[in-house]
Amino acid sequence: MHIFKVEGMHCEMCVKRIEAAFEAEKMHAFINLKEKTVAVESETDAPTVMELLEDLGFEPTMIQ
Amino acid sequence: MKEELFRIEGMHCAACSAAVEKAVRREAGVSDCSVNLITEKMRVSFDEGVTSSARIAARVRRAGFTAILMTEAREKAAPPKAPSLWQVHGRLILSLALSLLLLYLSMGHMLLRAPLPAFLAPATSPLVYAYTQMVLALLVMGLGFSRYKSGITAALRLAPNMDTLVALGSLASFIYSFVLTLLLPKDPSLVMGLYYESAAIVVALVSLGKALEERGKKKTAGAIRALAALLPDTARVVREDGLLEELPLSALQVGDTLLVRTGERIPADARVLSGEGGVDESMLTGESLPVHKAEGDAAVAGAVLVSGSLTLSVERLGEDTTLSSIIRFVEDAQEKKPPIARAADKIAGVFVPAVLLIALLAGVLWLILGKGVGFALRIFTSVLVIACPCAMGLATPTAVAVGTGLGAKHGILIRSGEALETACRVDTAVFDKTGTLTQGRPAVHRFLLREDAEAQREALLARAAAAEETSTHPLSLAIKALAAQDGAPAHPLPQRVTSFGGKGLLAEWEEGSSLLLGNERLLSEQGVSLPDSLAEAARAEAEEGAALVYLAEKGAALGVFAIRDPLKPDAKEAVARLQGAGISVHLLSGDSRPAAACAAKELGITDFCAEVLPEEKTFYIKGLQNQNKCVIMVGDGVNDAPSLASADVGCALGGGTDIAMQSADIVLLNESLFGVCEALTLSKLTVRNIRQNLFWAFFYNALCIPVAAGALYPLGFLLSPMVGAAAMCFSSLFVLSNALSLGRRRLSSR
Repeated sequence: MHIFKVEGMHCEMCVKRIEAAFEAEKMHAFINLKEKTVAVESETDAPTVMELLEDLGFEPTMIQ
Repeated sequence: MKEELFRIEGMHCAACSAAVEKAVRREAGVSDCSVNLITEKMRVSFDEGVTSSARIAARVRRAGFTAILMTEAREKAAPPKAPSLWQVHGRLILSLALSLLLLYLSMGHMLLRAPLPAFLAPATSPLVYAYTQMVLALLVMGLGFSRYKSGITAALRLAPNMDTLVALGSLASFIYSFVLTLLLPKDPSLVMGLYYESAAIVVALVSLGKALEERGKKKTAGAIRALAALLPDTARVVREDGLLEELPLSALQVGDTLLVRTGERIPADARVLSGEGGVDESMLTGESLPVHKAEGDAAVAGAVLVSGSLTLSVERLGEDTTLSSIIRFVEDAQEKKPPIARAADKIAGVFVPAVLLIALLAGVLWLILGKGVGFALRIFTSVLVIACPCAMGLATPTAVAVGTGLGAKHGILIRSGEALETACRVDTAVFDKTGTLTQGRPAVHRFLLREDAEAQREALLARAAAAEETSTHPLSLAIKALAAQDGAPAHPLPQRVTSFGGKGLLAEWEEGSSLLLGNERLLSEQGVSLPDSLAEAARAEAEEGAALVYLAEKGAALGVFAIRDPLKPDAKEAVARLQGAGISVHLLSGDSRPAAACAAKELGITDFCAEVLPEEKTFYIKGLQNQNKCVIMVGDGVNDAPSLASADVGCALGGGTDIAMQSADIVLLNESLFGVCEALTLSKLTVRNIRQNLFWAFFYNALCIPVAAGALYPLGFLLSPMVGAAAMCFSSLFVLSNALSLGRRRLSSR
């Protein structure tokens, strides 16, 4: 399980954007707006997820 | 280094705009990026050699938003300045003021012993008195110069008009008074015989009348502007690299690919490449039922996409679009209308030669009777002086003004004074169907069911209404209205609704039941069986122009909604009244033949035409006009604009489109069709009033002609300025009060 802290997540709209982007890449993510975290399965390529979140305009840092 | 402006769609909050900025800054070559959430704009500076607008837009898209490149629209050219209202009205007010001053000087002193300073009074300084009057008169005549120009040109064409009479009368007054002024040093008593005020007041009042008429003239620019406003300002173009660019219409080219979204207007005549949706083409057909468009279909500039989204290829732009040809038709129709022959001018055409003849005869007669040239000349000019009625120019505009006010009281807005005069000569009425004779809102005419399904009528109706709950299509609204009207109980909403383009929908409920609503094509596509009894009943309805929505369950059709656009309740009676008044009534419609035929039959109209395009409506009307018929056209839609402009009288219904109201001469504000009859009655009353006013205008002056000719000379009376002033006064008074009496008339008994 990889968990990323995502700065810049603000509202439900941001969550929807992340969901849409992940779905397009056929990846599944658990998004927590209150904690501002995004968690993915361990099999998922961490750098790819970072790239995706950066493309979305957020500032992700890997916590785990 | 290039700077570009983009519009960003989908931004919501500051986090979103920050996200866009961050995403774009990640693109190599971007040196600066700033996003404004409120204006939805993004400015980007980047190195053209490293990246491009397309790539920047792609970044924005990956972030979950849409970027549209904006090309700044060119400044629209400022509209030409119209002549200042002050210039027109200023001259009029000045000439009226000067005339009043002159009147005070001449009549005020002579009749009412109004005070005058000694240096001005006729008793003490007759020369100053006379020359002051002369200057004032000259000023007023100068301000009214256009009257002389018009009158003299008409005289040279041997077709004297009202202005010729004015020129004749005022010049005669002036020249006569001027000669007397020159003779004043020899005989100061002549100062009592000056007619300067006559010359001035005649010109001033006729100018006043003309100004009032100008105000009553129809403003036609509004219709053209409103039609042009049907086009959007910008279009969304899809470039080869996939980038969306927002361009002003002027930058579009044939072959460009456009993206049009729900609620937007189509920017050019185009063909659908992909996508589907419903388009409101009422500007062409008058029908506001959306037409389903899919790949390969053509769409028209100015039409509204009411549902769905379309990607189109531009086929015709600007001047070549159907909308532009409609605009051209309206412009042509307005230009080609000849001005109507004015009653006052016609009377003057006879009066001028008659008066000249009388003056000549009178002068010659007195010469023969041995009174000398001086006396003969005096008689000659006296006749000319008194013959010009000053109230003549007010006869028509006052009646039109009061008539317009009377119409307003009855909800009839008169936009053109000329139309008010023409309407009484109407012998043919042409009506548009949809929205004019019909309510424009489809309603369920009959809900037919299979015999064995009759028992479930209410339940089926309730389910159908629930199925159509989210649809705003006019046919759906009709079904929902029927359910509400019949008090059908509310049915739970379906869990899923699948739409089949313009053909219908399938509603599915949680518990497994489903309902199919759609047209015959959908039934055959879905393999739904249609029992013969139902099919026959439906066909009968279709022959009368109804739209059919079938109701099917589990592969079998249970019933059908026959939906029609009902006639307005007063339509039949209004048509009957017009026919009773000897006016032949025609029906023109952009709708299908069965629908038009059915409506015509119900209304008792024998002459009708269906599936008519906007230009074709004008051809029909011109055809009637070529048969010397005077036509009134009644319509409400954009597609009626050209025919409203080309008919002798254009009548729009108040609830219709702005464009129809701007193209029309008469607008019926309370939307009742009885208003058409009332408008015609109003016109008759107004024209009668005009004739009465003209009578009074000429009456007193004509009465004084014998006096001027010397008929009362044996009794010691000749024409004097007093007599002239009295005639002016009485005629003006009678004309005004008669015009006002029109306001007290009633138009009809409703």
